[in-house]
Amino acid sequence: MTTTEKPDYKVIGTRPIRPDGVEKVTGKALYGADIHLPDLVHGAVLRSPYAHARILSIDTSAAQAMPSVLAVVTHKDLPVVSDKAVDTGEGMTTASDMSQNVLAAGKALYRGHAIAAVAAASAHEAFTALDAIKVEYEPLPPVLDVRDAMREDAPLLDESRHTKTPDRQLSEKPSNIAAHNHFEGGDVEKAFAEADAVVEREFDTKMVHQGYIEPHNGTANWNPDGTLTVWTSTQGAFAVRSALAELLQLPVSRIRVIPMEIGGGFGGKIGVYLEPVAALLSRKCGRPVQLTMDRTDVFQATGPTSGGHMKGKLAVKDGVITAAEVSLAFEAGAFPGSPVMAGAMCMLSPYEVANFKVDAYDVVVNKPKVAAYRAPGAPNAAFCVEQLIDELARASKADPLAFRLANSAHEGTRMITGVAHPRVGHEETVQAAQASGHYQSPIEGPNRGRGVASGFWFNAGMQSSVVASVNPDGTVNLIEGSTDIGGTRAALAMQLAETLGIPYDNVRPTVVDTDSVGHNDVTGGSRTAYASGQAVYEAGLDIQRQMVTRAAQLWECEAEDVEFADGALRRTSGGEETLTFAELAGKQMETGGPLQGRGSVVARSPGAAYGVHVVDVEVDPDTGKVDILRYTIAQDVGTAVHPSYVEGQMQGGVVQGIGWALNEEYYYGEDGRMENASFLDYRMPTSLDLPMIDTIIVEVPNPGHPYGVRGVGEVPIVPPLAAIANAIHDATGHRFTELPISPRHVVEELHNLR
Amino acid sequence: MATVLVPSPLRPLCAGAAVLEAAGATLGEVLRAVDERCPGFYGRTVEDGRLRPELAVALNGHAHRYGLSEPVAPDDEVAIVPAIGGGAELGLIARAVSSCKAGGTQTISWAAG
Amino acid sequence: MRRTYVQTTLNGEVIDFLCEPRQSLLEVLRDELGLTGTKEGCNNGNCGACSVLIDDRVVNSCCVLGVEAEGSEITTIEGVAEGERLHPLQQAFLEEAALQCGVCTPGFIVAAKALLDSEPRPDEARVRHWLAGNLCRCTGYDKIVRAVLKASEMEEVSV
Repeated sequence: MTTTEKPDYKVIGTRPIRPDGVEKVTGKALYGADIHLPDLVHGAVLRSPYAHARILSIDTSAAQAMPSVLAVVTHKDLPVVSDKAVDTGEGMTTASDMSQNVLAAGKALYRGHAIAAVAAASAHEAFTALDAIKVEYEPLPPVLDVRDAMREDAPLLDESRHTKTPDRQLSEKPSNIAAHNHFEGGDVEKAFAEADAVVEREFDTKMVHQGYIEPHNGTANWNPDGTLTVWTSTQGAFAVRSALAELLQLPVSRIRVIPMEIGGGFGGKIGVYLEPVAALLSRKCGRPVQLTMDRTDVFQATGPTSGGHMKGKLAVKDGVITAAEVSLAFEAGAFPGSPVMAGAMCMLSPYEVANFKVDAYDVVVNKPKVAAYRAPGAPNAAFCVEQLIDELARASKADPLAFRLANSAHEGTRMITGVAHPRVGHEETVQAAQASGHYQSPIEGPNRGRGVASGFWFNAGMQSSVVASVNPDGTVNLIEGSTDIGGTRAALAMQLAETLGIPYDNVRPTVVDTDSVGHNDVTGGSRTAYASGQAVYEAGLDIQRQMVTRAAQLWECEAEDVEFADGALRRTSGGEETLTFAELAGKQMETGGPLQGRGSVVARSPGAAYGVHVVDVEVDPDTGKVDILRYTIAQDVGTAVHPSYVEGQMQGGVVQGIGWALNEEYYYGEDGRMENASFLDYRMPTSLDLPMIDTIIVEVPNPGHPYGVRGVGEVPIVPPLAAIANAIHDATGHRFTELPISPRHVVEELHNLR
Repeated sequence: MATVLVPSPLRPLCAGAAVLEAAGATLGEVLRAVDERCPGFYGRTVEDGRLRPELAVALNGHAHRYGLSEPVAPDDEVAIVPAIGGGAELGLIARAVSSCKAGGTQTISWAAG
Repeated sequence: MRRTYVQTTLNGEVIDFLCEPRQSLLEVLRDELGLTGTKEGCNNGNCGACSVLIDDRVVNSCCVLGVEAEGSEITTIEGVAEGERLHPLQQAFLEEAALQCGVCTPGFIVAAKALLDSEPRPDEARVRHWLAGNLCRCTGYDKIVRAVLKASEMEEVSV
């Protein structure tokens, strides 16, 4: 569906085969754990069995004395780093938190926290040697629930941590609340007093994992001259390089990070876990060292996303949402940095709400330090707000989509930060969902219901840099630094082909290491097709300009008399000469030498994304099982560069959301042990659980991108939790305010067993 | 004069004002101009010659970690907004500067309104 | 640890290798034989990323010991294409954009091959049921199921 007239693109909007596809369907593509280096040895990591414990001593002597052991490291082997702010690529953190998360110092703050590591000839031998490391712990009571952690008498994870208050002061008493933030606008009390209806509820969500299929890995070779090479599966090779430079106190230029193919990330493969440990082990034993996680490690010791507690109160008058008062408390895990602010800033952004009061609390608990997960913070917050909106619509006797449309944000609507929306497509997206065959069809049958929800995500811009080399036969090699998780090689090659007016197949993209291209921020924030696309466009324009100059030189005319259009050079006055792209490419030597285009951007206008979802469910009142009968997602994507991969992002995000809504959770015992740290018990959706996911691509071009591209990857996960809860309410009359809405939860709720 | 949107925690410095007008050809000058009327404002937004690490500025709606030399036109809107963690996922990402001290171990620490 | 001699047929070729009795077939394929197309996702039989065919049956190679391969016929993702010619499943996965990160893809193709080898024309429900042992976190399965259905309608590669 196109809402405005789309330019006549030749490559954009087509569905070519991705350049890296054949290697991936034949098993030849090399992921992080597939790298085998000469003299490679393997490592293993000793992890804390306690969720909260003081580390009294670590004795590695017995392990070190084992003949099979080549090196042992602990936190003592990491240089002392300051608490200065560093950007890991997933937001600001401090070097000392990062360092303590890589190898625990003083305290183990979650079960699975890395304590020490060993290198040996084989992984089996390294794991065996872990048993010889003696660690003396003083177990401490773990703090697992966000509300418990916020209590004044809660055990403290860090006695020196004080709450950073909204006015940037520090609280008098130490606290597990790392930060409290506040947004306010209008007059909330007055609006509540004058409302036709007010709805108020509390909501709880659990910690969940991104669930990428490839476990983390890191392979490092530290040379005696202090140069370090790292092979890893990461969303951002440059982010890994900065983190390593900070943690190991090395000059950035000494570190080369080679991004291997990456088996999924969703935000969880930005931070470093194994890479610095592999580097330390390699320095000690003088050989390349490989570390890989098993699935249990991935669950317990990487960065899932926050669970939390939310309170929301919304008011409606004459069909207009007049007030919102929402308080969000998100668990950050062992160190500060939950996505609570993102949640706070997204949840009301589909709407125009004049009066609001929003509080956001970032709370540390004895769980792994959270990382980004696809639109971090926004799905949880939408689970709260979009259910309350559903209730307001019911209270107003309005169709839930019509209600959303009537209250929709549009260009000029101010978000709670005060910033006005540029051209955004929420209204068009709601209308697309309204017009869908799905929404137009009746929902019939017992225990069946339909739910809808909207979602908003900012999308990111940031820095990208590419180089494009023109070959003598007219083909082009595109050198880029954005790791490709879901088809971005194709999306970038397509934008270059479009800019140059040449066939897609004539552009060959390659993702290179940190020594081989300028800085590129992470593949995250839905930014790659947009921001790296913009860099690619700039590189294309650079080539165009150089070709115009060269054609003018050949034709002995002025550059302004030469036009570059449709992949050819044409003299526009004083002659009729033309040259195709390939013809001029073949004349590089006589026109000034090798032709390269460069593009470097700080992309500042990502253009926000909206999605509106419609879902039909059937609830089995006896077993509590919820079946997804039909699912339709409408989303504003700006311009779909490769529609198949755009649809894929939409479908994949929805299905992660379905898992989050119905099954997924970190299930903790009182001792702070995650009791379901395997794919058997952490139940992600399978093909059998799902119908086809219908997609409606809405195209409201982003004015901040030459081809109107918006990020598409993250917003699809924002609405499903609420949309499904709304559908279950429609089916059963019960409002589910806790996730996951698992069979047990449903049975207990429907049969009053809670 | 540029329009400056004051986040709620800074409003006490500005006699409660949510919106101010301030003259200046660059972002730094605008923040200085606000500081003349609202003493302390500059120090709460700028550190070591850059925006504080937890902040971003939305210049006419485009949020970014602008430098203080960023040109500001008379009819521009300057909103002080949080630079959020969690994200490369965010348009409001902060780029860290090694010279910036975060003060404590806080990742995200600002309110705006 | 003492290594055991194993002889087996791998992707149509008779080969032999030495492995420790504690090594899984997955480890042997990846670490001893250099066939890294078979992936490890969980190492306990719950994700299907390490799917291979043993005597035409799809199994999780992380749950089979290397020594158990003695005398069997094993097919891995590296043995699915016929030289330059992709298997219809591989072609369909490319055309239908049925992979994003691609790490589950070898397992899906091997598992789906086992299905199509025994049931050339499965319907959607059958495909979804058959592939329920293979986890994909990127695609939501929609395009994978479509690719398998499309492959089932494509002309078989003659062997």
